[in-house]
Amino acid sequence: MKDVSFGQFYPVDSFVHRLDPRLKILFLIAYIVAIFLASNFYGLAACAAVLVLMVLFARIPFGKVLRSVRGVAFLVLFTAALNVLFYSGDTVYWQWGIFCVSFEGIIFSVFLALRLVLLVICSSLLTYTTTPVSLTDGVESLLTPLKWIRLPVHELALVMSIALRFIPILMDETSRIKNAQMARGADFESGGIIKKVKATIPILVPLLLSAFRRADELGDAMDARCYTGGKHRTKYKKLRFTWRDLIAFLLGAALITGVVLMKIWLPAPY
Amino acid sequence: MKAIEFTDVSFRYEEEGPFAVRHLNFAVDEGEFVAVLGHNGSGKSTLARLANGLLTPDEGEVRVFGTLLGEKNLYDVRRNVGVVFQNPDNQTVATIVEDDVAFGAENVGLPREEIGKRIDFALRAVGMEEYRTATVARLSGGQKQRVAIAGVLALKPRAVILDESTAMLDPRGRREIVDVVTRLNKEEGITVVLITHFMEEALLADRAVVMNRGELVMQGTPREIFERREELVTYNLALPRIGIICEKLRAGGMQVGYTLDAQTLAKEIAECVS
Repeated sequence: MKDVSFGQFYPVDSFVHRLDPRLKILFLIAYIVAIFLASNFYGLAACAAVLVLMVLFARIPFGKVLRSVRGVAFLVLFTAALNVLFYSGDTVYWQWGIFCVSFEGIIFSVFLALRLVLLVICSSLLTYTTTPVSLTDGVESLLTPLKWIRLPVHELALVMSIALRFIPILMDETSRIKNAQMARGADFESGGIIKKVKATIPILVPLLLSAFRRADELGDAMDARCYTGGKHRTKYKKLRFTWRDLIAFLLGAALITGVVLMKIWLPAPY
Repeated sequence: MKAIEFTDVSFRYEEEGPFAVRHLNFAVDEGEFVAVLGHNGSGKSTLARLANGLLTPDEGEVRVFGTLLGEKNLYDVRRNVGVVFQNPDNQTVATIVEDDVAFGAENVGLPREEIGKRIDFALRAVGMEEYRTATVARLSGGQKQRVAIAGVLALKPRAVILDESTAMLDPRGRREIVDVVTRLNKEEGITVVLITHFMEEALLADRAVVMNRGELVMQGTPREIFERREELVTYNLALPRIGIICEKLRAGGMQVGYTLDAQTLAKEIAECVS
């Protein structure tokens, strides 16, 4: 449980850490668009290269980055396997009833898996390099136009940052409860899937109760520190667009343009 | 002036339920350091919540620096009376120390430069200035709780209430917190109400009060309170360790007085032995 690294800030000082959070969020969106626009391996290779560059600039060890993929490895393999079996292509290698393995299916699955992996790495790069507070500030600032339609933008952003802050705390709590239940003879390992799901109830119920208790206490503590919502509130940290952001912006723009150009002029391979 | 004044205050969490606080009369002078002692369920935490308007009394009135606590002045009162709670993890809003300390100051709409100054002041006051950009989750319990105190200090309150803020800490962390609040009281002139069930922590206070079942049952200087040891036992409170050592030495036939000061006791033991 300890090594769940999604959503946890990695505190070093780097080029990427210093980027404006708004730009990082927009970059992530642009990157996702680029991943799905890329229709051949050249495009995806370009996306991967940009990501490697970002990781290097962020001074985050590659091991740590790969660990964030481990959490979704099952999902990626599962969807890839399904796609291989159900994709109906022309060059069929093997067929049995509705299952069919084709060349096109394999290519399609590999593409999908690569896209998912890149997507996960890029989003965790955002949370590695951005503190929840600046992430909140970024989201809040980007969503400001929605205040027009009376959306509680500040509150939504705060909820998001608190949720991120509590991930490691609740993770610790989960493993503590699990150990406590195991010490009382609970069995989480054996049995079929239904039994295993049932076995998590003694973990989930105390976890939920404690989450509510924590929420209650946090609410009191915020109240005691004069929290009254977004009105009249000031911000200590100001978001500023610098030369770093310009470079990152150009990189993002270049990536999208490049991917689109490759789509038009470089149709092969696949 | 009275910093906090309770006049005939009663409160219960549920209608028809038992009273958490019953006809309580209690006052803290400005600049005073008061320890509130009591067993679990004695109403001492309710006292903290009533004092800054997290709870509203069913009967009686609460005054804070002369202002009667009511709906309209709630946030003025909270700026003057800060509360530090028990669990450090459940009162930090942000991941980074300085962001969390800034939270209160941001809430009341201070300008940026002023917030920066407040963070400097608050972190210096709790001796955490080196940890300004550290991640809260990586600090020790005592350090986390010092950050929580800094978060309250950033609002420049005239009084600080610590609601069992040492209960979850190890002895070293407890020591850190008690040192910090003692210094705040002596050097910054901040009124301190220290709610605890650790007797040792009450020793540094100007005055100690004991609560039992929602009532104030004893008050006096910490020394006076600890002299009345039979009474303390009936309220489920244990003597401070030094007191216990004195008792045992006396029971064993050594001619020492009853003291709560380690130095004095050491001297007396030395005299007895020689």
